[in-house]
Amino acid sequence: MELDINKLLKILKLSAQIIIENGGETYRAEETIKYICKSFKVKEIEPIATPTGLYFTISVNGEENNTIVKRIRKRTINLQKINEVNNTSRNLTSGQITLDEALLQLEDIYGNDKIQYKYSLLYGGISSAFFTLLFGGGLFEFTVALFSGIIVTIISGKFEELQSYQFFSSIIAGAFLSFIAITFTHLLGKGNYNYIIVGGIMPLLPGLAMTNAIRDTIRGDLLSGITRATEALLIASSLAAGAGAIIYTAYALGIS
Amino acid sequence: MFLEMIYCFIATFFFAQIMNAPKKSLIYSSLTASMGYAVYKFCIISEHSLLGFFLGTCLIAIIGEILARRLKMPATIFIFPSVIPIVPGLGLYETILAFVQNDIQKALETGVNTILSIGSMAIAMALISLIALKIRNKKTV
Repeated sequence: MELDINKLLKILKLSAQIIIENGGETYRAEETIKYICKSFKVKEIEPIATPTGLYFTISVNGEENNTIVKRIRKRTINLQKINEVNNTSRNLTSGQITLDEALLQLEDIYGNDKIQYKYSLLYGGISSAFFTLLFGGGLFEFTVALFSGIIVTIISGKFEELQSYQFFSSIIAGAFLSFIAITFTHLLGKGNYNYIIVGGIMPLLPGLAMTNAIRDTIRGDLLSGITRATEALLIASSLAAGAGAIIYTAYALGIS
Repeated sequence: MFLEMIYCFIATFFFAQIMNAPKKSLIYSSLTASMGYAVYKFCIISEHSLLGFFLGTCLIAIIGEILARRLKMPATIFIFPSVIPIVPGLGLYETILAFVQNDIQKALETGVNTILSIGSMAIAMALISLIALKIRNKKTV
């Protein structure tokens, strides 16, 4: 059977792109390309994936080269998509599905942006509320953290729709979080806002970026390691800046 | 302590859903998170906080790698949500708070501590993923 190179290229591009855009490690993207190519007996494969773009050259017969460059602009976290791409590439390499089917599946995964918005608000609230409990908050802190978690999830969702820079949304989220926490504890005259702010910050921390930065660096992908580490540092310090500005204002006003 | 493990379980369960983790993985990663947290907390109580960060992350990474093989899913799906409760958010926050209060001495102290804790988590994660890689390579060769 003649191998349709264009379809193969499309599949490679799409699978690597989905993995990187949704928070997968860059080596996973590179390895996916390699595995798929090997199963189609491609002679030369040279993939490079970084968090900001991916490039790969394949040569099916060893004479003609095909190169694709893809710039990656948005980076979110969606573990479900990474898992689905993993399954599709596994099925493709083991020969259970054809190129056409794989392409259809990947396009499905790429376009599938069903976020259960209503529920995700609740999830954000509940998880920050329980983190508050974990750090020693009581029932009052729990309630306020639930509320502020929902607000922060709404805000970061709105920023994601606007496709703005991540550090901007982190500053605003940190500021809103501490604003709500300090306002509630001050107005009602009870509770400790520290627990609420820490609980709310936990889900926003760049845990995945940090984890990936380390894993990439250890594997020798220094470029993506540094990129991810910078991202993690940027998010953490902008969260801190947002929260710090509000707390400083509160101190200056003599509220706390 | 048992109560804290339950809090940790619930927090991770919902946190994983924000990140859109596959439904099948939710229970596993939440259980992993509370086990890791228990180890971490145990070390904190016996006043070896850095060891706590290290061992807690080690346990989570090991379970994550095993689960990844068993369920044929990427290890990140399990490790990432489970490790979140251990990430020193409190340390980070206390550092900012100290800076805001103009207490540079305390800020530097907690800041260095936080960086060290993150560093020991990093070493644990790197170590386990390296070992897992070696084992897998040996099997395929």
